[in-house]
Amino acid sequence: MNHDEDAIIDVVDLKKYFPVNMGFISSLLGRGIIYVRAVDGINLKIRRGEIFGLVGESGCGKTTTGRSILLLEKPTSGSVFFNGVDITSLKKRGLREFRRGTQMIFQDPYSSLDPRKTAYDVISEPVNINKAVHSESEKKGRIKNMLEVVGLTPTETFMYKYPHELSGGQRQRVAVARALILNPQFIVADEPVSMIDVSMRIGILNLLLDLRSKFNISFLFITHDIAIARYMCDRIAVMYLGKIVEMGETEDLIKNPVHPYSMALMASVPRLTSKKHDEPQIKGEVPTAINPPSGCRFHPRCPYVSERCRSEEPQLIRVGKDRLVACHLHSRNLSKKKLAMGDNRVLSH
Amino acid sequence: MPLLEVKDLKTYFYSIHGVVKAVDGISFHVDRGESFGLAGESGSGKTTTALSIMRLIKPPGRILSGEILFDGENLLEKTVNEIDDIRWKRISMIFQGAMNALNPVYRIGDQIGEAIIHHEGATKEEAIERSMELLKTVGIDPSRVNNYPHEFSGGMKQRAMIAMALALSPDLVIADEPTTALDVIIQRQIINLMNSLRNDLNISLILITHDLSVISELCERTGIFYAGKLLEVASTKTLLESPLHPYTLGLIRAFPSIDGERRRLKAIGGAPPSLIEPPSGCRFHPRCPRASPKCANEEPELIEVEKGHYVACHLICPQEGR
Amino acid sequence: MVGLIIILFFMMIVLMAPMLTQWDPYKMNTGPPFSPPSSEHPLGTNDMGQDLFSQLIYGARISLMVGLVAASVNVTVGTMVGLLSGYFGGKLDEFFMRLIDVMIIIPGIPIMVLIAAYLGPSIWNIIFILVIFGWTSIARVIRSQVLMIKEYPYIDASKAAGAGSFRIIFDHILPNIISLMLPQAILSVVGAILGEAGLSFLGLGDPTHVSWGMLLYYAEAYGAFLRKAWWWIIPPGLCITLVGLGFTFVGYALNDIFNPRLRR
Repeated sequence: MNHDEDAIIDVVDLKKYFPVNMGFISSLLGRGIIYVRAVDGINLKIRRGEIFGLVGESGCGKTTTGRSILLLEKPTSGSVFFNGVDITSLKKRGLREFRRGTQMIFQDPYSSLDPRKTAYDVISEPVNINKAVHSESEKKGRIKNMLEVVGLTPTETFMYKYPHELSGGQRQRVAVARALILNPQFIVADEPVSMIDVSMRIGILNLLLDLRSKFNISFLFITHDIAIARYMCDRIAVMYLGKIVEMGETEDLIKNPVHPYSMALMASVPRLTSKKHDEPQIKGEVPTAINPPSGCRFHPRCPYVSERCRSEEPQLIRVGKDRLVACHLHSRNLSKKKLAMGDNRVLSH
Repeated sequence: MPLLEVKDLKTYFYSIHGVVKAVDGISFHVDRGESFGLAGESGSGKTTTALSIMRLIKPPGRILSGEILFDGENLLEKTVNEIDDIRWKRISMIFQGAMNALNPVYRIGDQIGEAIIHHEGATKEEAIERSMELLKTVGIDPSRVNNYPHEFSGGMKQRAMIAMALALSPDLVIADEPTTALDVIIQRQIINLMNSLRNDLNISLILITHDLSVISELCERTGIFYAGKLLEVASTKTLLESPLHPYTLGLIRAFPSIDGERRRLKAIGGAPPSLIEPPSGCRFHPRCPRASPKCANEEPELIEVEKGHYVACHLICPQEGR
Repeated sequence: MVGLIIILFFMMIVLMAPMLTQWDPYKMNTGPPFSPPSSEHPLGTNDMGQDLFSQLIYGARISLMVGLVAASVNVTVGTMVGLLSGYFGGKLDEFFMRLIDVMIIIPGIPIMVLIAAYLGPSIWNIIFILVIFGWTSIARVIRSQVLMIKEYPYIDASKAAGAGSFRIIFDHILPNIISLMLPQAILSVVGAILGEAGLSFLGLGDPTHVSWGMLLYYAEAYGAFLRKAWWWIIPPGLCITLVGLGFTFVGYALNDIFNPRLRR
C-alpha cells in the first residue's frame, strides 16, 4: 500500500460500520443485518507537527473516525499507518509502540477521569502500564513536570486532588497531562473545550498550541465549532454522513469553500461583527447514516443538485493547490461557471 | 416607559454549603419590541435572573429584594393567581435544554395546546388548530401536530418549544440558550427564525447565552453578567466594537471568531469565582489585569458613562468614596 | 446506626458464648424438661432437658456463620460473574444471562428443599444450597453497573494507554462498583440467614449444629407450641428478626452514604 513517508498518520479507506440491533424476531425472519455507516471510506494524512481539524455536525462520523484511528473501535475495513507501520494489521504485542506514541483527549472533563483516582494516579497510569520509569521518585518527578507543563501549579496542591475537587478546565488539564506523559507523537483531541466555560477555553487551546510548538506533536482536532477550528488547525477536512466532502488549508477553506455543504456550513456560523450578509440556505436536516442517500450523500439538500449527483458518488479530487473536494460540480471544470451562477441563489423551501 | 424594568434584584439560594448569591443586585430594562441579551459564563446569574422574572424560583432559592416592573407593575408584589395570568400570556420562556423539556408521552400538538386551553379556555379542537398555526409560524409542517417528540429532530424540537412560547402571543419572550447544543446549520435556521418572528410579531426578547456571536446576531442591547452582577450594559454594537469594562474586553479578546485577523488570543487568567464567598469589592478584581487596591475594597456601581452605555468599574468611571 | 449496634451486640455474643453460660448446650438433662425460665436456666429447658439459653447463645454462632459464609461466597461469585459478563459481553455474557434467567425461573425454595433432602443434613450442604441460587441477583446488579461504567471515557483513556482488560476491570471498574457491592453484600447476609433459618425450620438442618432455625424446628416438632413453652419459641424467632433487621439497616444506610455521592 502506498503511503506518504512524511505523514505520521496515514488513513486509507477507513470504514466503520455499526450493526443495528434488529431484535430477535427480525433476525429469525432472516432480514439481513442493518448497519449504521458511521465512517464510510475516509482518506487523510497528517504530517508531523500538524494540527489537522476534522469538522462537521453531529452524526457525521468525526468522533468515530478519531476513535477508529486510535483503535478504540476496531475498523470494519481500511488501514491506518503510524510512522509507516500498518497498525490495523498488528496484534496486541505489536501495538505497544503505537499505544505509547498516540493518545487521546476526550470531550467531557467530567467523565474522562476515574472519580476514584487522584491526579497523581491518573497521570501515572500510562507510565505504570508501560513500565516506563524505574523508580518511584523518577515517576513523581515526571508527574510534577507534567503538571507544570499544563499549568496546574503549585504542583503539590494539585497532585493529590480528586476529580470532584477540580473545575472542568482543571480536569481537562489533568487529562492533557495524562495524554502527554509518555511523550506521544500524535494526539486525538475530541471536542476538548466544548464542555468547558467560555473564559477557560482559550487557556486550554493555547496550551495545545504550545505543546505542538514545543514538542512537535501532531493533532487530530475534532470539533463542530468552525471558529475554534480556524484558531487551531493548519488544515481541515469537512465531514458529512461518514465521508469527507472537502479538505484543505484552514483559512483558505473557511474563506473560500467550494463544496455546497461547506459553503452552507461556513455561511451559517454566527458572526461577531455587525455586518449582515446573504447566505445560501439549505433545507432539511441531516439524514440517518443507516441508509444514506444514493450517489452523493448531500444531494437531497443541495441547491446545485444534478442528475449525476443522485446516482454517482463523487470522489475526492484536487482543485487548486491544496484543496480536495468531492463534488460533481468540480469535475471536468464545469465548476467555475456553475458556481458563478449559484452564488446568488437563495433557495428556501 | 420600558416594557420590563428590573431594579436591584437579589436572588439567593440557601444551601448546606452556604448562601449562594446567584443574583446580587441586578438592574436593567428592556424596551417594547427590543431584544436584550444577557451574556456571561455559566453560573453568572443569567438563568436565575430569568427565572426570577418568571417567578419560578423555588426553595432553597428566594428572591430577597428588588423590583421587577412589567408594564409598570411590580411582579414581585403580585399574588400567585395574578402571576399565573401573566405567565405565558404576557411573558413566556424557552428553557435551557428545551429539547429535553418535551414530555415524551404526549403529542406535540397537545403540549403546545395545553397553555391555550388552560389560559384561554379554548376547546381541544381550537387548541389543536391554533397549534397547527403556530407550527407553521415556526417552520414546521402543520400536519405534524400529532407527532410525538421522539419523531422530531433536535432542531424541530427547538422550534416546537418556540411555538409553545408563542402560544398565547406574549409581549416578552425569554430564551435561555436556545442555540447551544444545536448543530451549526440548524443554529442558523433558529437564529433566522427568531429574527423574523421578532420582526413580524414585534415581540420583545431577552436572550440568554454565553456565545457572543449569537448575541451579535440577535440582540440590540446586551448586559454582561459576572458572578451575579452586571458589569457593563450597552448597545451590542458598542459592546463589541468599543467595550469599556476589562472583563468585556477580556471576553472579546478570548473569543475565537471566523472573521478578522487570525491571531493568538489571550485567555482571561484565573477562574470564575465562588458565589458563596465572592471576592470583595469588584467581583472581577482577582482576574483583572488593571486592578487597583480600590477595586479590592469597594464595589463599583453601574454608572452611565455615555448615553445608554453603563459600566461598573472604578478605572473607567472614578467614583466618589462612600 | 441502630443496625450497627444490633450487629455488634450479636457479634459479642458469638465471641463470648462460653463465658455467658455454664451449660453445654448439648448436654441433656441438665434440668427438668420443659421447665420455664429460672435463675438456673434463664430460658428454661427443652424436651430433652437441654438448656435453651445456651442453645440460643451457641446457636448465634451457627446462624451467623452460615449467613456470613454464604453471603461472602454469593458476593464473590456474583461480582466475578457480573464483572466478566458485563465487561466482555458477547457469548460469555449471553451464557451467563440465560443461565441466570433459567435459575430465576426455577422456584427457589422447593428446589432447595429437594436438594437438601437429597444431600442429607449437614451444615455445609446448607451453605451449598444457599449459594447455588444466591449469586444471581448480585451478578445482575453488578453487570448492569459495569455496562454503564464501561462506556466512560476514562476507560477508553486507559485502553489508549495500553491497559489490558484485567487491569481495567480490577483497577478501574471494581473500585467504582464497591459502593454498589457493599450494600448488596450486607443485604445478602440477611437473605442467607433467613434462608438458613427457613431450611432448618423445615427440618433440613444439621442436628449437630443447632442454629436458631433448628431451635424453632425442634420447638415445633417436640410440642413446644402445644405446651405453650414460649421460652423456647420466642427467643430464637426474635433473634433471627433482630439480626435480620440489623443487617438490613446497615445495608440501607450504606446505600444512602455511598450512592448519593455518585449521583452528582
